[in-house]
Amino acid sequence: MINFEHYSREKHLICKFSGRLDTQNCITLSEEINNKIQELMQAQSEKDKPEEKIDFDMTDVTYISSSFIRICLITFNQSQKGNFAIINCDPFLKKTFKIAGLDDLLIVS
Amino acid sequence: MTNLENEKLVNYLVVLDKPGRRLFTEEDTRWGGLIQPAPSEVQNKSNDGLRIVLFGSWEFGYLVLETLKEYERRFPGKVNLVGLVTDNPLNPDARISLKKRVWQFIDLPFRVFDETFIIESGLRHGIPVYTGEIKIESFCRMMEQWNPDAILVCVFGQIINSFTINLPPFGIYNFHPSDLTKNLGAGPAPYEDLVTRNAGTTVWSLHHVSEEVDSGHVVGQSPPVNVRNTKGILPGNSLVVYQKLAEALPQLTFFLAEELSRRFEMNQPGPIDHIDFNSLISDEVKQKLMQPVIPDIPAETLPMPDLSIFG
Repeated sequence: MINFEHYSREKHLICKFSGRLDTQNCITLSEEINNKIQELMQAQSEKDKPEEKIDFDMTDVTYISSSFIRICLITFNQSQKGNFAIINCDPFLKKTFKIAGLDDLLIVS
Repeated sequence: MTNLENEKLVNYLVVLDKPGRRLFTEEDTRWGGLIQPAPSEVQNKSNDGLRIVLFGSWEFGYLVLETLKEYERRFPGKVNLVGLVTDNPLNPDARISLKKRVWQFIDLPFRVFDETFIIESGLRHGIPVYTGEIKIESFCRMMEQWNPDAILVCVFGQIINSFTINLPPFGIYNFHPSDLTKNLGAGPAPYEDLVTRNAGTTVWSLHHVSEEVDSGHVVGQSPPVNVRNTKGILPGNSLVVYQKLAEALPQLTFFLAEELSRRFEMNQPGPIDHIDFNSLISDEVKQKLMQPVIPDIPAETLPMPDLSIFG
């Protein structure tokens, strides 16, 4: 469902999702992402947001629910300005994020 | 962006989330439709007790919904949520005074989040959710099928007509975040009234719904709620103030459900004339309501009822 690739030298975290990101699955996903961000925060000194660029890689995702939109909004608020992006969306997902207004807030590609 | 796309968004994010959910759109509604929960979501739903329909949206409506759901879980057979009717803030065709009400302060992604979560929450509880127009024939037919004993309203953008008002034998009640006994803050902008008066506290009013907005008989009021921050200033962000006001809603909902279910058990239909919330709500809660508004920015998460009210 989620794999983390953390490149500490480049300060880059890639969250690679797969499958159906429905409400049920998003409960555990939300915890895992939050834990990972807390881990990043603990590794740095006195900043309220991680220095890392955070990407959500959607290559292998087949469905997103409203709970996943919530995860995106929370991660957006937890990351530094311009440091959060949703990448590798298929055209349908890209359109979904657009209709939901997320492409005005963050980078969707 | 077409309106059809907005309807498709709700369909995609919510209906397709759980196999077996279905969306129906009647020909006479100009927006929205009826979403039925999946059979697996309905199988544990009780059918006993006072039948309640909630007309609600945004975080306040969500909080009333969650409190009623918890009430039904804790006290099986006393109340029975049978349907949810929501605003449809994602559809520009929806005539819900979007630009005058709380939705004006909420960016589109957060509207998506708020609206889809209340729908999701209703469906997970096994109840149908309606997002469309209410002054139409198909809605009246649906309400007759739902057959509510009581209707609760909290943040709902359409004028409710006499058909719906006269339907539930135990009455129809609206939660409004201002002191309606003093004619303060009626209508879609209670926060603006606080600013105009430079108010330090406010209350919730629970009132009968009439065809004129926020003008029905006031049944009861919450204890005062502090709307100023630690510096003694009314916060400039209305959502922060509304989130403080939300702390009182589960209490009001709980005691209203108690009174309605008591009357239902005693077979005493008719609207409730008075509830003395002040004597029912604990001193501890009253003190908490009078604590200053703490955050400067709205919380990211949806509010949840304080479960201590259930004992």
